[in-house]
Amino acid sequence: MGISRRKFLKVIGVAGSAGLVGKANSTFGVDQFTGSPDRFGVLTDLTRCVGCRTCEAACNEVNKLPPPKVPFEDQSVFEQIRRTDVNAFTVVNRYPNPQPGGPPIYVKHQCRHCDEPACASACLVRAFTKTQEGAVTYNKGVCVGCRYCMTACPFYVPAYEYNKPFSPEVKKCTMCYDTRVSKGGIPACVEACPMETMTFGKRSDLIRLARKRIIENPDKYIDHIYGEQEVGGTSWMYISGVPFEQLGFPMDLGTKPYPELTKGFLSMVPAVLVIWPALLGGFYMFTQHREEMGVSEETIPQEKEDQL
Amino acid sequence: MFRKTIIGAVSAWVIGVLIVSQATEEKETSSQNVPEVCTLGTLSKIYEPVLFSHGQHTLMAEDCATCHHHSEPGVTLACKECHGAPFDPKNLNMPGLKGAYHLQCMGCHQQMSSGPVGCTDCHAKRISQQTGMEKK
Amino acid sequence: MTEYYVEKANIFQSWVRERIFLGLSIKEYIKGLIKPFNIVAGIIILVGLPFVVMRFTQGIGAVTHASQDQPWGLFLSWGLFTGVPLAATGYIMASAVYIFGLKDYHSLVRPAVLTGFIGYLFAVIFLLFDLGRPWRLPYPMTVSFGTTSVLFLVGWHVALYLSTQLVEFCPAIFEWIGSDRFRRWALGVTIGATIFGVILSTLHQSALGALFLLAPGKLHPLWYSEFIPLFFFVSSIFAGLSMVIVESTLSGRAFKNQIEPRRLVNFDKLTLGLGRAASLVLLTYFCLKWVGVAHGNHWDLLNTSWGHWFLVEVFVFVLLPCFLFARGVRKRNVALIRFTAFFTILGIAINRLTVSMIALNWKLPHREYFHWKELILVITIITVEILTYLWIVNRMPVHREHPDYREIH
Repeated sequence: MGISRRKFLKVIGVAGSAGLVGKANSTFGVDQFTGSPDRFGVLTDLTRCVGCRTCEAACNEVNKLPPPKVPFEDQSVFEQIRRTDVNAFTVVNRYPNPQPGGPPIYVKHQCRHCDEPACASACLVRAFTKTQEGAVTYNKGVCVGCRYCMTACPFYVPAYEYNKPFSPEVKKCTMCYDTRVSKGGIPACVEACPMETMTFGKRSDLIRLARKRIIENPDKYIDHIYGEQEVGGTSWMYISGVPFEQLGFPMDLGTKPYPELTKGFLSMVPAVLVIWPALLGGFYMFTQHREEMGVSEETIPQEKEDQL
Repeated sequence: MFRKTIIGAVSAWVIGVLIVSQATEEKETSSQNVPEVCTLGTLSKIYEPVLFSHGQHTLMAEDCATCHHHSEPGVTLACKECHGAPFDPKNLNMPGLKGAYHLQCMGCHQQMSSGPVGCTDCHAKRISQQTGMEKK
Repeated sequence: MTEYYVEKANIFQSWVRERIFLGLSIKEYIKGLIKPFNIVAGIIILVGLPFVVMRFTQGIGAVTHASQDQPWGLFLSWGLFTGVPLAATGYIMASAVYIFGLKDYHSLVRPAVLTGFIGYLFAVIFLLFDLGRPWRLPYPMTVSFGTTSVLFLVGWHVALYLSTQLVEFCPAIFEWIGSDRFRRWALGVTIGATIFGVILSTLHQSALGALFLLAPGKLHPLWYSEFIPLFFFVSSIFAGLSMVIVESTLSGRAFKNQIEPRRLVNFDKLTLGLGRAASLVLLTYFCLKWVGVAHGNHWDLLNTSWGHWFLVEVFVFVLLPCFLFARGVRKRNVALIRFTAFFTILGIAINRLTVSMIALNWKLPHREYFHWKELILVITIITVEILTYLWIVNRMPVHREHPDYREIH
């Protein structure tokens, strides 16, 4: 017998346990994140916003953020396009109106609370959760600070507290989940807005509302609800009178949810865990067999080198 | 003190008119029942109430229904008769009272490129850095 | 009775002196440490030390240019993304010798496994510098499992693989300590550990590439591809092969007094074999890269500045070393193969830095790649890594056979 019984059993043991790990891995598997059918959303009507920044002030107050360097009444912030930050979970940006003489368009930017969030898929400690109500929440109790969520988010939303050495957290809009939405309330920015730019309700109802507004005012709105299908659908959606590509919205995201992008690779893992031990064990046994048969490896490369 | 007296008196007048007009089935549109100044102050926690020059606007509008919209012909309702709390799931398209005020007033001002559109153009701020939410 | 304990203390003292201080008295040992390389290394570490303190007392922002748009910097780009393929030496040599039976290369296995182990250990150390809460490093293993995340896979595999490499290196440790029983146990599990190591390596080398699958809009299309895991895995093979050549070249100089002349001469012969393998894998990788471009239909992008960079990377740092290796093998020019190995390592570093830092977020208007303080820290950690490697090789039987265990392999 070429290979000793002990060695054979060892190989099979490793292969078997690797296979079991693979099986366990596949039962953990890859989750679906699609929220519950009654999940809420927010529809932002970009024809209404006047850039008063009351929403930013409300968010600042409710989340007990430090007062901003530039007060919320100050309109000079619109000279630059801003992004969300550790102390600014939402920002309003101003874009020029393509129609000459038309008023500028103001766009409120914050976490989109995607139905299948890239951040939740990316997080190696499952710190993000898509709640039943639709909000994507963050658990600072498990976060290790790898910032993969920031790399994954297509909207460049999460911000990290780099200046904190001992308790840095990822900061983003929470849809006021803990303080309001989970208790039947509505997000602070939505409530504060004087123009009711944002409407809070069931996502399915909001899509109907958006379609109704578009159909009843075809000259006023672009026929597209941004966030209805982008990256698999987001809870926070937008309708606009100006094409979205002129308002800083990423247009190349596609409709495939981001978690699908890594599912293919991850599903390969159990396969490798089962096939590799068998394959490599087989090679090993073949090598042992050859040695037993007296065909020594030393002579073969020597012959090959002589041929060179 | 004087100002407060005026506001109080006007508010009482407005409320009185509304109560009286509620009691009657037919709404009269004669100028005797049209208030000259409306104080819109039920909502604001952070802004002073708005002293709305209603009389001036009736001269600008041809028809009461220009602003008092979506009601039967001849019927003139105050805004808050229909616009209550926002985001009623059964009627998502109807704004709440605060939204209705701003959308209606500012919408028209923007369209006509005339009239106040800034926050403090219509109401001064009571306390700085605060927002229109319920204080807990 | 006290004589017994005095005896024991003496034995322990002499054991420590022999094992740790190379048989010298402490004075002699410290004197012997004063060499040019050690002095330079010492200076580097002294310069880097305040920045280490800065990093852990003031946060990541104090030593990096990490921003909200670009969260990852040099710690990850070099330490993790470049360091891990360069540490692929372990699984390549172990599988070549133990699974595919290429017994000729046996003398290269232990150094390769050690290089791999040190490489992964310091990848973890770089990670500890980069993580916002480094003390939570065990969390994905123990507290909360993000099973949908590729990074979860990387974390688990690096942890398991580090342990596996340690097990594979154990025979050398036990020979050094002098424990025969544990050594025999360690040798017995070598095959299982090797197979397990290859499985883990396949998965995490490719997983490091798969991380970027979640950033389609952020990674330039010429580098973003569904084949990225395959690219990372295949390039790790020739990275490992080249690193073995580099390591044996450097060790042949540094440890001349330790290595038998017969073994040094044998290195040349083995280097030819490694060069041949590397050439073949580089050619495969070259073709795969074009499959990637074709699959994404990005031919038009080749004529942009990013496209030019891609062409440089693929022609100068993949195809050229492929030819140079082949030429070196044909002409039996070991020096050329050694040079090409260094060049290939440079190419790997360029590729990984491109994917993880330069071509990532290529559309952003403002780019700040890394901070000078971050660079100092990286150099400091690399210096410590080299010193660790030297410390171990100077004591344990890595490039030589332990006199007590000469016959057994």
